[in-house]
Amino acid sequence: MVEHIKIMGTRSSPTVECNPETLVLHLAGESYPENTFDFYKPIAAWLEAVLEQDGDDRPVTLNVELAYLNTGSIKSMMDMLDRLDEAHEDGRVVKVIWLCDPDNERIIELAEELLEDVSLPYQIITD
Amino acid sequence: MADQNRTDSRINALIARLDGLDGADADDLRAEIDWLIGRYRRLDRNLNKISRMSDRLQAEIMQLNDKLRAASITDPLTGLMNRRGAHDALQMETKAAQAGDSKGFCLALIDIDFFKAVNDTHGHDVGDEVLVNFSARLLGSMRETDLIARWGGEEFLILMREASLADAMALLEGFHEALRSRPVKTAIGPLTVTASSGLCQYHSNDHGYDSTVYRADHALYAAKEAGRDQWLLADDPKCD
Repeated sequence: MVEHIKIMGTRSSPTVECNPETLVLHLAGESYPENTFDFYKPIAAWLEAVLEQDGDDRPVTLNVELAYLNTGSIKSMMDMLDRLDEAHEDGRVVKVIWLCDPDNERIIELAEELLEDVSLPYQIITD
Repeated sequence: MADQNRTDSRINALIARLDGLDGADADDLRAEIDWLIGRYRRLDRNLNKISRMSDRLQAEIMQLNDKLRAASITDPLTGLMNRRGAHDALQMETKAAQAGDSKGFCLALIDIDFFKAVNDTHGHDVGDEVLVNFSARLLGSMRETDLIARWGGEEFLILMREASLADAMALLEGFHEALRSRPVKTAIGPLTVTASSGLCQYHSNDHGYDSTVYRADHALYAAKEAGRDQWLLADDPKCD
């Protein structure tokens, strides 16, 4: 059984919930933790475990409400998107929902740029 | 780019060699290499994208830094440079004068007379209007190369770069004269405002700009003591 991860957000790191019941990975807040690689390591590992789970073909959702990402967080997000995209190409149902503040043009642009190269279904919601 | 071309040509050569092979092992190998090539291309694309995003973020941070720097040396009410900005400018000007890169400078401190009474009688909004209009009048009276800063509450500093003492005296006299003859506009009507000033010229034996400012301040105090609505030169016997 994959674990349930809950991380309380801080000023510089997002609130995270990885739910093994719903297979929803939720990230919200601002993401510029001191050590981005260490922060995202268990989250990426959770995603990997979910996608590798034998006999489980339930849909996986990445739910993003991040308002700011530093360069390391962008790299981690790209890695997770690539992994999800690979699973999608292998036939798994996956989707990405990115909720953006309509006044935050920078994050809308970033979400579009991050998602332009993936083939999985995604939605950028700005309202 | 050269590295990209070199890698691409090696990948193409590898694919060509695989095309000549037969059998199940070759198919496995081909599939594995295809996967690795796909992975490599994806990572390469991501790296380029991250570099672009990072450059953009850095440019935004630099712009924000410039804005913060400008805000940190600006007085929000009058839009003039604040005391912190004036300190930086004085330091630079003193260094230039000491190094012989400039002909020196003159410095004036100007204080609005009886400003507390304006606030007490007409309220702080009118007081603020007087400060804003007084600042605009000062800007209009000085040369483009002069630096005007809000030094304190109702006190202003003028740094007259490369000005001779005669030039500085004429500029300051012109301002006092104009202030006397034309009242300051406010919401409650025109108010006659006068000011007192102390003027001095930078001396090579001034120890840093502190002593130049001190001499101007001393002259300003003497102008107040002598009855206000006037300017005094730091070397004037009235300042003793």
